[in-house]
Amino acid sequence: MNAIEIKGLKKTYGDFHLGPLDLTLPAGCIMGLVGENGAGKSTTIRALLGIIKPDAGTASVLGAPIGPDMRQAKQDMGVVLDEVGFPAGLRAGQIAKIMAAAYKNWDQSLFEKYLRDLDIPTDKKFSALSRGNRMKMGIAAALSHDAKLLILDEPTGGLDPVVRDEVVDLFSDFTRDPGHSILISSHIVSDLEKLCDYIAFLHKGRLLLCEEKDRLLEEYGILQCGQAFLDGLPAGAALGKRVTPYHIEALVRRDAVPAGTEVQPVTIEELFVLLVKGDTQ
Amino acid sequence: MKALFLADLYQLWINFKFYGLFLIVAMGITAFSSGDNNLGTFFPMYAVFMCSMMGMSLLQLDEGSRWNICAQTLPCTRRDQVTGKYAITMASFAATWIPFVLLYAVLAVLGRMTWQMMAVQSVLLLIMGLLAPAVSLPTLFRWGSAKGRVIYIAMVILMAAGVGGALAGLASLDHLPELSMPLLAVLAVAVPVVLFIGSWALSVRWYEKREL
Repeated sequence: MNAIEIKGLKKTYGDFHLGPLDLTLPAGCIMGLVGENGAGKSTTIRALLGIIKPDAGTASVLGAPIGPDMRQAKQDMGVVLDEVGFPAGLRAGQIAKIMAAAYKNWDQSLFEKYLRDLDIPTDKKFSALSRGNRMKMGIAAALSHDAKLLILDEPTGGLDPVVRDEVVDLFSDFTRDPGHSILISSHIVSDLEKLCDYIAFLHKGRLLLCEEKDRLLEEYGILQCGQAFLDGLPAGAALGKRVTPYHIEALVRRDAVPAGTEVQPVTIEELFVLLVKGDTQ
Repeated sequence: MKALFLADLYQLWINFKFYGLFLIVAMGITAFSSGDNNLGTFFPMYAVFMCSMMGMSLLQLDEGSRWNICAQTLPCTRRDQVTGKYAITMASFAATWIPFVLLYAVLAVLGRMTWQMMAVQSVLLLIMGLLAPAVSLPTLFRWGSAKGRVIYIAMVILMAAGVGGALAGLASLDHLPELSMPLLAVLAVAVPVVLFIGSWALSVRWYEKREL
């Protein structure tokens, strides 16, 4: 079973158009959604959660079609939105009681363990916590009810690098269970590179590509050359370029450049930036 | 649903715990002023008005902390969210109305208030306590707390002007059909209750359609 299936999803807000979007996250895998601000990452996630109604298309989460009543599916989902919104005046203990009332499989001792491990103050009101601690509280709650799928919208935003690393490790631990899946959006592409099996690039509401991460890293590379060499490449070989004072760095398909050409490995971040810039002229 | 109600109870306790103290003071003033004069009427009315606005205030707090969005990631529906707010509004109203009705009954037993006045005051409190949220909550669920509050105030002004205009337009109250007291009493109780239930249904419908 696929954890998430999206087919032809469309949503329009004024000038912004998302989709049509087709995306599949197989069960047991981690997919990273990469995109600039306003690319449509949060809109996609909110549509999956039934928070917004798509204009067209269908989607299902853990086999349940998205819609106004996703109670059963949400029992098995842990969600962290870009701004964790627990009631402002509540403390960790009260938040835990609310979560325990909401989720059948709420594990109080696990939640307390996460609070300790992530060093989250339990005596402060939620509104008095730093953005990072609020995010950590949301992550702790999402991981404490035996979810099968995590849907995370910028969960590492506002965290310092050390905590970010800890949190990424927690997500990695979560996917040790072969039935567990994660859909995660982030600006911090290095986190996704560490974590994800699949990467989906969104740009201005369109899906540029969705591929296995290892395959992306195998298929694409960076070629350092001059403009004349770049112009001599077959059409479609180069997908984007960056001009430096010394040379041109072009994103190329490894199988489309002449044999023997030295192509350097590309990072997911470079891949995304060069894909979005797009211009090869 | 239980989780949402619990969250609202915590919010009520954190933000409105002094209301309990106000309620005790208001009941004391009502008791010592026999409930029959202006002072004895003002405080119960004010207390009921305050508690009937609590659902509205909780919605505003939810939006401020984004709990209204976060709650939708929990295993509950928008209908549950609306029902939770109506339930907490009913609970806070009952926690105000019942003590006042009991107080009026005690005053009537002691002979410091007539039974007829006790019934009239209790029904007036009921009408006020149910009508105010019945009008305000749908506007908040439809337009959000900032816009909804303005629309609610505008609606109250328009309704007051409409009722005032209609009464002024009547040459004589003799044109009104005569109603027996028991029927009037039943209508006075039934109309706000039916409007409150209808308001819940409208809020569910509007909130399910709203883009957050």
